[in-house]
Amino acid sequence: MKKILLGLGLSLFLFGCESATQNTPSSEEEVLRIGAVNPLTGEATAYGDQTMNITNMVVEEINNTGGINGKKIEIIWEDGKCTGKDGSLAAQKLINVDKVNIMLVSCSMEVLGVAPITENREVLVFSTLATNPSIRDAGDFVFRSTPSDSSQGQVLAEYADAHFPKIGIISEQTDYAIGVTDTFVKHFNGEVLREDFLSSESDFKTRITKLKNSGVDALFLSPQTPTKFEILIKQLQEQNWDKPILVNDAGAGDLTVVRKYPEFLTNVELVGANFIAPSGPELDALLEKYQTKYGTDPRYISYAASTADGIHMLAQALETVDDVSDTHKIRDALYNIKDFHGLLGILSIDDHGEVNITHSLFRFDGENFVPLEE
Amino acid sequence: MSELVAQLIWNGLVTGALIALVALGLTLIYGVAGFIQFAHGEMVALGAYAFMIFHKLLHWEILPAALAAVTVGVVVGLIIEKLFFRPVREHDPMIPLVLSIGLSIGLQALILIFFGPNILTISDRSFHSLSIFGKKILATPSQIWAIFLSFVLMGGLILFLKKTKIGKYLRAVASNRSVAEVFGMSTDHAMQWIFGIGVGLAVIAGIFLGFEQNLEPLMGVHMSVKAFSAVVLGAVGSVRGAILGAFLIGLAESLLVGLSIIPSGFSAAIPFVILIGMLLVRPEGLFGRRFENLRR
Repeated sequence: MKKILLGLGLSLFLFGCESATQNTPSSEEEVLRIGAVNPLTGEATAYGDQTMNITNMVVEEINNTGGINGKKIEIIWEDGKCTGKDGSLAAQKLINVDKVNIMLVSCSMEVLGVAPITENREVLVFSTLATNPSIRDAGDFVFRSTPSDSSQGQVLAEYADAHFPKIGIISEQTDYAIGVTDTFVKHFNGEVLREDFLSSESDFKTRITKLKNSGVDALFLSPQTPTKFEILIKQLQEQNWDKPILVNDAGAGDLTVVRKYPEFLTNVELVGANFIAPSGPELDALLEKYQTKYGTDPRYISYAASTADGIHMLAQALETVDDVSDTHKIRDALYNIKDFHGLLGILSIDDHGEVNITHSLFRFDGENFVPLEE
Repeated sequence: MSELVAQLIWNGLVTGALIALVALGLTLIYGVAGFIQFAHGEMVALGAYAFMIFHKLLHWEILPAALAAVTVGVVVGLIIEKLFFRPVREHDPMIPLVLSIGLSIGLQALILIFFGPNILTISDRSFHSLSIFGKKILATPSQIWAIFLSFVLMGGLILFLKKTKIGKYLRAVASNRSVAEVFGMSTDHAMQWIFGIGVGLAVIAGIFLGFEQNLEPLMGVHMSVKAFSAVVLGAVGSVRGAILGAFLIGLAESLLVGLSIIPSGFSAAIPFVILIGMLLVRPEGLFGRRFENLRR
């Protein structure tokens, strides 16, 4: 009797398994699964939360209008913590367990950590946030909708060169911030006094005192996040800093910080690099949609635009291929994207997988960043 | 003295005063409980965030908000001692130490969940800097208060431990817990006092740190690393040692970087370089008893 029951149970179990495996392909046919490596915990969630929200919002719009050739997009989010180590662990899981062949990867460190794995497996990587110059040569399957940091270092240095003979620099020791600072130093012909700091530091009084007494004509700040930018601005104000300030797009891409110090920043003059004008009808519509859906404004307007543009470019490429499991075809479709009308402008992808946009300079007028007129 | 040196000394004193307030709690807890409380840095962050809630969100004035934050901190400190450390106090010191590391990570996660990763300001008010000492030094009101209050608290604590009955009782428990218990002194009672005082000082440091550098979830971790170095530098368990160690670290950071003696990128390494040098030359710390004497 026991044997009969055991046999019956086994048969039912096997039948159940077979039914489950039969169901899977039909559901997979209707869904296009895309992996996403993004900072979901830690300090970098300031970027990660926004990237996830914009991505989900755009994907929802695409799905509501028929998806990709009838397939709904499903994003599988994994925490890359904005580090190469956690990024590559997340990518391994997405490739081996979730079997994705397309991946959205956010931070520069995540992209640089993930790329060796994905290139080897011919998995397509698209970043809407990463700006490190090394990503240009990270691989044939790596794309991004953000400009390289090298453009902002250069544009800021050219401006500084024309106005200030001697400049002080306070730079965070991270790949992004050092990349911008090194490019700045390379293109600036005047005298430089450089002060670096670790991400764990928050006390800049000594560095500010030192630069204030050294007779610099202006200060270039290169923080990794608006968090550090705000601490710097607060301590500069307390130390009665009175020279012009230049800042990378970690500072110039976020209005919440600068709007807390309007009087100080307009008195000293704050000039920042960014790759989008902070307003425009299409951008305002995106920001309004975000506000309505999440009840808050996106902090980094430029990266909100690059994320929306990136997802739309990827969707356009996916729509043109007959087999979305073939990453060679998707890669080629992405390389063929030319004159795409996005929030960042008319975009084309070059043969390194990069978009054709560069940074411009903006001045803080006490309320907004406005294009710098010279 | 040039204005630059005067300003650097002032900056170093402010940093040293804040480190000292945190280091005092660490050294007191070690003295009585016999382990390093790694979650002590989170008490700094707790104080800053609690003050921000009372002052900025509930619009209380600075003094009542600070008193409320200290009260919240002390209550949380007492609860942590009772719930987490008391049950494992008699075990190997490694157990409360590992427990405190876990507690530290848990508290950081709680701060992230409730307040998010973004920087928060502790107050909506902006305070203008003042020129003091013949206009040689630029100081914010919070820096002046931090220096004044930390000296008062440090002096008060030394007097409290030396002159009051409870202070003598705490020193007796710290000196020899078993003998103190034989004489009817309760270790539980002493631990509650020490956690209350230690967390109270950390909360005050957190409030001033919030005014200096704004609030971020890991603000306590960075401060506790320096405080830990100060404690070891001065001699673990020594109140005077912790204070001296804190000011040495604060001044060294400010003067060595400010006078370009070392590159600014190495600033964070200064406490550890001093610490390693000290351990090599005098491992028992500045105020520690020499090991040779102890062995005899």
